[in-house]
Amino acid sequence: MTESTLLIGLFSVPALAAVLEYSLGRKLPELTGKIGIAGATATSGLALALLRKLFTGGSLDALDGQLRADALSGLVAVVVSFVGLAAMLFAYPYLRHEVVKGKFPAERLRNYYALSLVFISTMTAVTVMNNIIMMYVLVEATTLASALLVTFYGTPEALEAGYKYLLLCSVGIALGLLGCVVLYSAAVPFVGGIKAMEISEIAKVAHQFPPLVALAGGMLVIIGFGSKAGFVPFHAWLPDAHSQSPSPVSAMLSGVTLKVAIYAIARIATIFYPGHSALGLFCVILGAVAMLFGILVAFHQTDLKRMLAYSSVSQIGYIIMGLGLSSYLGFYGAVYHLLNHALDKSMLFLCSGALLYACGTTSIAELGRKKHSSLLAVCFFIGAFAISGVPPLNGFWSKFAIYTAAAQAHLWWAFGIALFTSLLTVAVLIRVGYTIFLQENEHEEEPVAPAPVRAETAPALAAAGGGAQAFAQQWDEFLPDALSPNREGETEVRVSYPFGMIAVIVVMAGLVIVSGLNLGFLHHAIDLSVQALLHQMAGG
Amino acid sequence: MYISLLMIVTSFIAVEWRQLTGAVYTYQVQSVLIALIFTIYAHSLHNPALYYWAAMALLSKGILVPWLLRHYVVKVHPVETEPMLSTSLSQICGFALVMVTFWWVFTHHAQLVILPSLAGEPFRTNLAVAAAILVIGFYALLTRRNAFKVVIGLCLVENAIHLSLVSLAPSIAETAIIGVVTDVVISVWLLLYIVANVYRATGSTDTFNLQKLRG
Repeated sequence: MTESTLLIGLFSVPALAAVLEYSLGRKLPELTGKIGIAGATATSGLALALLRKLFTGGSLDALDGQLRADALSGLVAVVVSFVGLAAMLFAYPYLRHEVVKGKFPAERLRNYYALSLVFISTMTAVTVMNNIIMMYVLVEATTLASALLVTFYGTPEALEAGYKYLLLCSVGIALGLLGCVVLYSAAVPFVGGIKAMEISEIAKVAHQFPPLVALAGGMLVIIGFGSKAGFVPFHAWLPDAHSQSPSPVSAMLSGVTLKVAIYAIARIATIFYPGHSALGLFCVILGAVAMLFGILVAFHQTDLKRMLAYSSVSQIGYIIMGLGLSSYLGFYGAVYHLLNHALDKSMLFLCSGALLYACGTTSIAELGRKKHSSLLAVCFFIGAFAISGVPPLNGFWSKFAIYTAAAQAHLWWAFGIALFTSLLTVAVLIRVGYTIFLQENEHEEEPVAPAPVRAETAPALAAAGGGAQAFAQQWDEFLPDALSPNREGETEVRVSYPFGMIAVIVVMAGLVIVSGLNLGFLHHAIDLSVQALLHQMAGG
Repeated sequence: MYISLLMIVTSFIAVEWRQLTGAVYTYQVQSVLIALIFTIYAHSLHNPALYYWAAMALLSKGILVPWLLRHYVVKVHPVETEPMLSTSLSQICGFALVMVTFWWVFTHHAQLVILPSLAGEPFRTNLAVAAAILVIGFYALLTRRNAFKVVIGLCLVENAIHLSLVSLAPSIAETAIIGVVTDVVISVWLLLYIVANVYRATGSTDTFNLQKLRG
């Protein structure tokens, strides 16, 4: 495969799958979702091929420099397409179950898959885009593609969330466009005409920009794209959108959409760091405020998904602080944490989806009164420990790199806030995990450890077909009394999850562990991404 | 130059006019003025790409977006919900903000513009006007309770940014123009679609009713 087909295929394959999904979905309802999964799998394959091609360094160009990929693009594209695939696989049994429960009509399934594919397509396109104006267009397109997914249930709350999401992100990103325009117009005299829109060309001439223009452009880009990444004080849309959308969509929003916006900032704003240390400091301050604010608000949330969303606000703070430190270690920590948070948080959101599937609620207190699969509990705790930065897991290493970078830069206050937030994160997530999974039934947890999801493959398949009706009715009926904590024999009638859902969560938990094991190829990929950023900073 | 000053007037009217259909018409007039400015630029800079820009602006902002707005406004509720500040106070606040912004951009224009061909008039006034409209748009976004007024505020922000885009960098490529314009139309359409659904669910377009999700 040639370079340009690879780059173009990365976003046109999911877009094509979306068209297929939508047009075939009406005539062949049994194919609904399968096309989506196939499309997402193909996209992941292309992203992996792209990363492999970039593994020796360098970059790929297509369409006369309009598209460009280096190792950072490859890494983010892999993360995006992989989380997209996981969300698709999870959505398959999950949404069918909701159709059976009557939350929405079955005809709307194809809308869901088609929109998800468009969403994935816009996000992968951002990773390879080299045109600064088109970068804005695509980041705004991710908002547009996901807005209808956020309002998918059509409840007043979901509509409110969608309204806030669309409005705040559109206004915020409009400022980003203004920043892009300022930077582009500044590059015109040095590069000339249409070439001046290419980010890689802007990087070459950035040091010649007048200071006011570079500073104003950089700030606008950080604030504009930052509103999409959920920076405090532009985060108001984030917890609403995350808590009201279907769980697989929450996983994608939190796992990768925020990262795509961060990627845009990393691409554009870091260019201006060398001449303007104020921009870097601005990012560090934004990061410190976001991480502390996010975790403090997360502390008194009563809804699991809202709590996870506020924790995302806090974790984004780490990434942007790492980017702001603008040293090798800072970038390393930021890129590594970007990867880790994408894996951990989307896994945790899928866990919350599984809990919602089983118990019909995401209220922490109500979940605490019910009994849950211990496999799910193990996965939840792996994710919670990882994101809080408990040593052997991936989150620790990335946060450690950011602490060290802050210390090297002699920003002791930033170091202190980052460390303190990390401790608070452990407290918040473990408290929630304890309330949901361990409280009240901690004595009964031990004996049933090994096989909570035993032989539940059949319901998974049944859930896809007509048999789901009977199955769903069956456990809807015994759910209320059988699961009350003070009843005998409840271990026999545990809620069973479709195999597909649990498998996705377990695989992601496995990846969380694997990505913490200082693997050579992972280090190499992150190292190359950091080199790409540093190279761009040094003038492309 | 008078055209761009007229644009400030139209923005004020679009924000302050309580009758929503009237506000939409005012917005439409403003969009036509923008297209006119683009045409004048195209003529004075001898840049044919700008005619294309002007046509796109006329099609999207002058025809499509107002049509969408009117379609939904008529369907839902044509009178604005009482805004947060009283009319006279709201006008004084808005006017003061606009004057400050306009004056700042007007006096700092030389630092913001690099191309010699874009220094001086009419670019200086137009950039200052763009900044003023941006402020008016944000002011509408922050103080208005009616969802349609908020959407009109967003449209004003977009108009301001497009005007500044042309005043700062007229040599933009077609693909980018199409992308930017499509984004704007789709985002307005989706917002209106959601607002109409909100109206169906709650019977109101007052954004103060959209406060179930908190904390």
